[in-house]
Amino acid sequence: MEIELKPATYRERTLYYKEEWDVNDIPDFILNSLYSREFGFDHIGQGPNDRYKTFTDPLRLKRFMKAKKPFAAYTSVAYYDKPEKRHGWEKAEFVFDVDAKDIPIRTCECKPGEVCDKCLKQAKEIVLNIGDILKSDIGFKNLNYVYSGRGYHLRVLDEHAMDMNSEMRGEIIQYVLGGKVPDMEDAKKLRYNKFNSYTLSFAYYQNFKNWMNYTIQHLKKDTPVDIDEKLLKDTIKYKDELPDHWGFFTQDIGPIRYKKLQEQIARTNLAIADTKVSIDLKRILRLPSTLHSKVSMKSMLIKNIETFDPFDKAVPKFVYERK
Amino acid sequence: MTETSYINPFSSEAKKIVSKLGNINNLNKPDTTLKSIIEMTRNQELKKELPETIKQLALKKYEWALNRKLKDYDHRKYQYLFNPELYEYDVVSFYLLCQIIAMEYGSDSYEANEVLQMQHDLITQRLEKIAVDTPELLSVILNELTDTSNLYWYDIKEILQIGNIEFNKLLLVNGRIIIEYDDFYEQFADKIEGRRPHDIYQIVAGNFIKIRLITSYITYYMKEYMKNVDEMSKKQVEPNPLMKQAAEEIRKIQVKTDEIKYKNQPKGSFSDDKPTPYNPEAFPPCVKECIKGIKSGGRNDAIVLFLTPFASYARLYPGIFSQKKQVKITDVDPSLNITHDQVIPLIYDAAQSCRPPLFKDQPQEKININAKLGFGMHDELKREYEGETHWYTPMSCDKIKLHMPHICKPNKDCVKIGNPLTYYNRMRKIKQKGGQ
Repeated sequence: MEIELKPATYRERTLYYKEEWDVNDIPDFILNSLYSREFGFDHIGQGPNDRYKTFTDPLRLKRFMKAKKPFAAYTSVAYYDKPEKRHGWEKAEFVFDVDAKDIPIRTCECKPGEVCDKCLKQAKEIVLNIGDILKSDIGFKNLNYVYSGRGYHLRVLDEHAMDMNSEMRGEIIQYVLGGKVPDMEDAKKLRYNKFNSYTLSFAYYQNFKNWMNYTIQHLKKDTPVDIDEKLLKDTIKYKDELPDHWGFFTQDIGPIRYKKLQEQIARTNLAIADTKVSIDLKRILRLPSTLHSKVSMKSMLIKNIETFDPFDKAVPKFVYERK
Repeated sequence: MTETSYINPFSSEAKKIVSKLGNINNLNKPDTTLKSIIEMTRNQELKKELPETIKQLALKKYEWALNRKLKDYDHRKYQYLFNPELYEYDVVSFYLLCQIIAMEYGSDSYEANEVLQMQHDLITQRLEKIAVDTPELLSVILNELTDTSNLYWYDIKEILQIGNIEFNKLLLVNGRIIIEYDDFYEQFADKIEGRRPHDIYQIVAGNFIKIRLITSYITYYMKEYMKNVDEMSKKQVEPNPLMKQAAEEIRKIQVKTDEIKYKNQPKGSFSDDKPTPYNPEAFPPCVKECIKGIKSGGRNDAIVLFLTPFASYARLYPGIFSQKKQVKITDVDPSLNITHDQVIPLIYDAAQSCRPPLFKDQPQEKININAKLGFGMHDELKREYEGETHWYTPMSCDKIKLHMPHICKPNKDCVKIGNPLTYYNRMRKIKQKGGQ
């Protein structure tokens, strides 16, 4: 059965919160810190304007949800001493938000603002890449993948991630997404003037290469990226030389244009995830287990990201009952 | 043999030196050994007045901090600062200078920042020389500060936040920073083809990472030390007269440097510390993009966090970054006429050009704009509210790329510029000189 990603009606929402939603589907990492988090709700589909809500225990949250059947429910990534006032900030999860509709290099035929199976798969691929780097290079261990309804959230709960300030988060985002061209000034100081970072296959150099390759492989002539037409055309023409023959690729593009391309790709890489979410220490994020009413999908904690298929696991029952 | 305290004033050796030479009564007494070390320094110019006391040495360091930025700076006048034999006096003068600045000017002052930057540059230059002559000493110095074989980035967040090391320059494996060659070889040798691993190590880590880590550690400890002195001094009833006197001399050094700096500036040149009419042609691409109007999604940040500080500083105080002092809008626009008549309209017009217009669905953002201008969370922009919040300085290019990548569309002139306001100032000058 083909799933249509259309908005849920009020009746469907009511049905979902009455029959399907279970407070115990909220991840433990949220339930265990309920009293420290701010909650926000959108009751009519115009954004979360019912903020500063708090719940001291799951039962109260359950009653609220069952009674209000919100259009959307959110919880803060931050932990506060007084969440009802957003005072006494203690720490905040470090989050990567990959929304399928906002991926600048998606190759599907979706209209702006829409998502499909193909771009959701791409969002999953991206969030997996991000997770790999967070583990192998950055050394984070407590990674939680959440299906958000139209993409994925990766929520890092390591203690040494949670106390980072915005600047430090910004530095890590740049590292993880390949958002900065590797600086080879030190090589020049040692008189390796023509040394190219693509010859290095470890640490950030490898990560940047991976993302550059990923982005280039997904470029199409109408991809909305800030690369001039001729350079974009040539990049697509020679993309098959990657990832094995960076030297040939650079030669074919031309060293000066390659430098420019690197800069432009780095900027595109940064737009692959919503970096505003990652650096925001007081953000509210969709509450896993609740309904994404715009597309009638469940937001949920993912047990195994490798095998997760949103069209198998995150479709509410009422969708199957639609005529 | 160079002593490690020549670089690290926080080493145990350095602390012993302070107990030996740091008696406050001796700091203003001529010291023949100090004089002799300075006079015997290779390439030292002997004509000008040279420090004979530890206090004078501390003040000379401050003078170097300011003078090295001048056009006719002569390095030979300060050659002694790079003589390793000076290490004992260097350590004591370091603590003295930190105390003078922290007690008399405060640990967050412009002067404190100058001294931090000076110490950073001073030890960087010293370390670069050591890296050539005795590179093994770098590891010794760094190991006094940390365990280089077992260092994780998250254990040194405060050190990294000093900003001397770009995070992506760290060689990371499971959070561990690879610093020493043996560790590098073990982790990455099998990923290197066609080149000697040692050469690659020197390029991507080697002495560079060690120098950056050492300077970051010392700058961090220095900042903390000044903060402590600042706090302690608030509880102290009577500061030592030597401190007062030295602080006054620091003021004189500043005045003298400013005189030299501005003496040769052509008349009619830029006055960046007062209101200056907008030159929209000189706006950077991100500002032009923002003025055109932003689509829903990034509107708030673009108008409130990005455009408001830029538009206000560009019109009222474009030289904020070179002046390095905190100002209020009424310092430069006492009647607030320019702010009301020119700054606010520019911001509101951009907000109106957003799709949908920003204030249509989010009228509360007008209050946020006032807050970013330093006038608290109020509907109206009135003098009596000023100071309730800070006048936000314009965001750096790096922050813009993260917060609102959609407006960052750099042109060739953006290269090597770190802030849109710097771009604007530079472009205004080029355009005034009749450049492109």
